[in-house]
Amino acid sequence: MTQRRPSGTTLAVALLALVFALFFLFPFAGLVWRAMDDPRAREALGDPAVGTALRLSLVTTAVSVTLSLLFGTPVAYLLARCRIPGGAVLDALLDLPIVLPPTVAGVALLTAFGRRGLLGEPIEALTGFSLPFTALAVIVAQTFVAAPLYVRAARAGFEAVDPELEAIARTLGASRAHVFRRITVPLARGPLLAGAVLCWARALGELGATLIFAGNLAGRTQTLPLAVVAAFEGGPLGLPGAVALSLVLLAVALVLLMTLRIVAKRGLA
Amino acid sequence: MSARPLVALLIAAAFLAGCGGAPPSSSEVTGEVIVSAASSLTEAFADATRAFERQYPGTKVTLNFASSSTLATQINEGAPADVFASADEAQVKTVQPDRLATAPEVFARNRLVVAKPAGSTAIMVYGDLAKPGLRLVLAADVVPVGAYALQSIEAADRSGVFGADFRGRVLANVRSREANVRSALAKVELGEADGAIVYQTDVGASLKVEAIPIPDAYNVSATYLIVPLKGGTNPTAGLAFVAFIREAEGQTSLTKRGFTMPSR
Repeated sequence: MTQRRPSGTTLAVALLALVFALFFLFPFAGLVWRAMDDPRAREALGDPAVGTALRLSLVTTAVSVTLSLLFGTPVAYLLARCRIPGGAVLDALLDLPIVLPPTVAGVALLTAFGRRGLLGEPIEALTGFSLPFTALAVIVAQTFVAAPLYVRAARAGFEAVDPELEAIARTLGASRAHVFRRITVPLARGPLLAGAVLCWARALGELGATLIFAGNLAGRTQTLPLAVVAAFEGGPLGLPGAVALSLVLLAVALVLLMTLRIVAKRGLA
Repeated sequence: MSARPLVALLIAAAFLAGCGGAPPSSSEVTGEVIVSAASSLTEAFADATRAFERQYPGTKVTLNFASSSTLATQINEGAPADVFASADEAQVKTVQPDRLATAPEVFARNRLVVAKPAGSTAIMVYGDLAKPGLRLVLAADVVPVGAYALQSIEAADRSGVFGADFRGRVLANVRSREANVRSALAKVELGEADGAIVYQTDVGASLKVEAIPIPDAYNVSATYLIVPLKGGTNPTAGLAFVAFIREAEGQTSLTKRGFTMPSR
């Protein structure tokens, strides 16, 4: 075929892409515009309540991501390399929190770890400790909904690493742990990082499961997304506060994404 | 131009004039009408809606339940509601005045109780709310039942009956501030919370919770207001619905669920 002026298809694709880009641009532009336009939103940014929610969000998500990496990495490697009994079931179980509405996850967590839950009741009877309404419950809710994203990405990353390389290193006398640390992880670095950032972002945005499982108390379980809802529903911060809190969330998410880009580039160089 | 706004205006005028003006004739009242109502009205308004749709065939009432504060925010952000039924006056006042078709009117009253899981002994009397280590759940400050609960706790604090800093000790037990009265009640039904301050009408429907009465001296009279809205899609039916709630059949739906009538 010969080269001609842009075809109808090209124009249609360009138009669709433009509409799509604008669709994502406008809501963020709207947030920034509202914040610039409304002096109360700028004031709300300095409100101690915003700092409290931000701190709680950062601390809980940091722990959630750490737990996800700690427990998720071995699982992802197993799923990628071994035919383990029940592997398919585990695989499906890990997909469930991704497709389930978070509110369902919250109810499910209560039935397991709540004061009348399968595990929660005996644990409280033995130790007097109950999980709901604690910052730990926030972490559990975040890990439950976010860790599967990391495991999926990590599994795909491990699968892309040639097993031959690992085998060769083993024949040269390297231990399994050594091979994993020095060969597998560096080679799967990109997907692992991407998975961790996705996991972090999902944990940061967690709302439904947290509300149901951990409740909503400023300073204890009220993370940034919960604070946005509370402000929007007429809390002391009001709508300007909801805009301010949303901006803070947006900024944190942007920093996360930029960090990923920078780290990924360095990793390649 | 449709004659609808004029009709609505005439009806509104008839209502404002009071004297039990005739409700809109059923031929004018038709189509979907959106009613935004406080969560505590869930059952009573569901009953009233069925009766309303019987009286005005061809109407379809869409009920939108949430905390009154959430509903007020939605209305101010342009939600196409035709009626707002709020559990307190403060939230009606936050609605932009140009959305109100008439002056809001009181249509029901309610009382507070402490809800606890059935069989639980953690709370036996109102004063137990200050027991150290208790897991208490309240609605958020701006949610009417949360505001009423604070009034009650403050009245008890002022009375001095329950010892020093009753308010502080109770608030230290609060584990969550819920978005509406029903999610506070749900935490008690699930057994996660030892207690929650809710309306007496909320407890009736559930076998899983029991009510501990709050003495009159520390109770409040929750005042429900209803107002037809402008800027919705069906102002005529909105006016008719408000009139219906304030008349015999609407009031019966409310008293059956434990609400009391405003003294007129």
